[in-house]
Amino acid sequence: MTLLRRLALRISTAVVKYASPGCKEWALGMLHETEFIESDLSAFTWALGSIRVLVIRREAPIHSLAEFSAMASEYVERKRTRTSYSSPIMMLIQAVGKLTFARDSGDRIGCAMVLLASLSLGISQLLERRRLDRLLSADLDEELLLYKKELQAAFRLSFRMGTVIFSFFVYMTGMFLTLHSYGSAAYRSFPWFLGLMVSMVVFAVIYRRSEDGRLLKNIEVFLSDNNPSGS
Amino acid sequence: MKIRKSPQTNLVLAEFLQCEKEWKYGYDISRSTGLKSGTLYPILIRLAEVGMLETSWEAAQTGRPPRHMYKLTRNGLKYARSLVSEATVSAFARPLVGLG
Repeated sequence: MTLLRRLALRISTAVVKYASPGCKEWALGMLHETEFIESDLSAFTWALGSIRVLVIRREAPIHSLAEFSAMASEYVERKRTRTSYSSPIMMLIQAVGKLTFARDSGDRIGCAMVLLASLSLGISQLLERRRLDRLLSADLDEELLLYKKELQAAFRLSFRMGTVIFSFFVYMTGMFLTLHSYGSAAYRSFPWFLGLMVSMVVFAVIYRRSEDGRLLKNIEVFLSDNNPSGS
Repeated sequence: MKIRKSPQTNLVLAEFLQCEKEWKYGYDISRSTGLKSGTLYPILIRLAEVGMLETSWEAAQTGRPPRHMYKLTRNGLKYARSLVSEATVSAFARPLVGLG
C-alpha cells in the first residue's frame, strides 16, 4: 500500500472517529468508498474532502423509545453534574471573608454584591437540582414529555436563566469594585476580561441552543412517527 | 428544513434522475458530476435530512467493505423533476430575454 493510500485511510478513519453521531454513517460510507477508488491521488483527495463532514453537526436519529429514554436520562444527568453547589459556596465564603476585612466603602459594596450574587446563584442551583432530581425519578412516559418540555424551555428566557444572568453581572460588578478599591492594576484590564467572558457566554448559549434545536427536531420527528397525536 | 437551490445540488439531483430506480455510490456520483467529496456529501446529507434521499448499505463482498448507496425517495424524485424542468425553462428563456 502506498504512502498516499495509507494517509487517505488514516484521514478517513479519523473522520469516522470524530464525526457527530448522525454523520458517522456517512463518514463510514466515505471511508469504505476510498477502497474502491483506483488512483491513490484521487483516494487522498477524496479523504481530504471527507474532513468537511466533520463540521456538519447532526444528531443520530432516534429509533426506539429505549434510545429516547437513555438520551433523556443522559441529558438530565449532564445538567445535574453542571449544577454543583460547590462554586456558589466557595464564592460565598470568599465574599464573607473579604467583607470582614473590607478596606473602604467601595470594597464593602463590591463584597456585598459578590455575596448577593453567590446567594442568588446558590439558591437557583439548589432549586434546579431539586427539579432535576424530580425529573430523574419520573416514570418513562412522564420523563420523555418532561425532557421535550425541558428542551423547549431552553428557547425561552426562564426565571432561572434570568437569575443566572443577573448573578453573573452583579458578581462581575462586585469584583470590579473590590479590585478598584484595592488599586490593583488588574482592574484596568477588567473591562476586557468582562467582554471576553460575556462573548464566551453568548457563544456557549448560541451553540447550546442550536444543538438543543436539532435534538428537539429529532424528537418531534420521532414522536410524530410513533404517536400521530404528537402528545 | 429547505434545500438550498445551488448548481451543485441541481447536478446531483439530475444525476439521480439518470436512473431513477437504481442505487448509486458516492464515488460514482462524484465522478459523473465532477463534484469533490467535500461538496457532494454535505449535499447528500442535507437531502437525506429532508427525507429526499434514502440510504442503504450494500452487502459486503469478500475482502471488500460494504458500500453506502443512495437513491432518491418519492419526494426527492418529485422535487428533482420540478427543479430540472425549472432549469430547462430558464435555460430556454434566457436567450429570448436577451433578444428583447
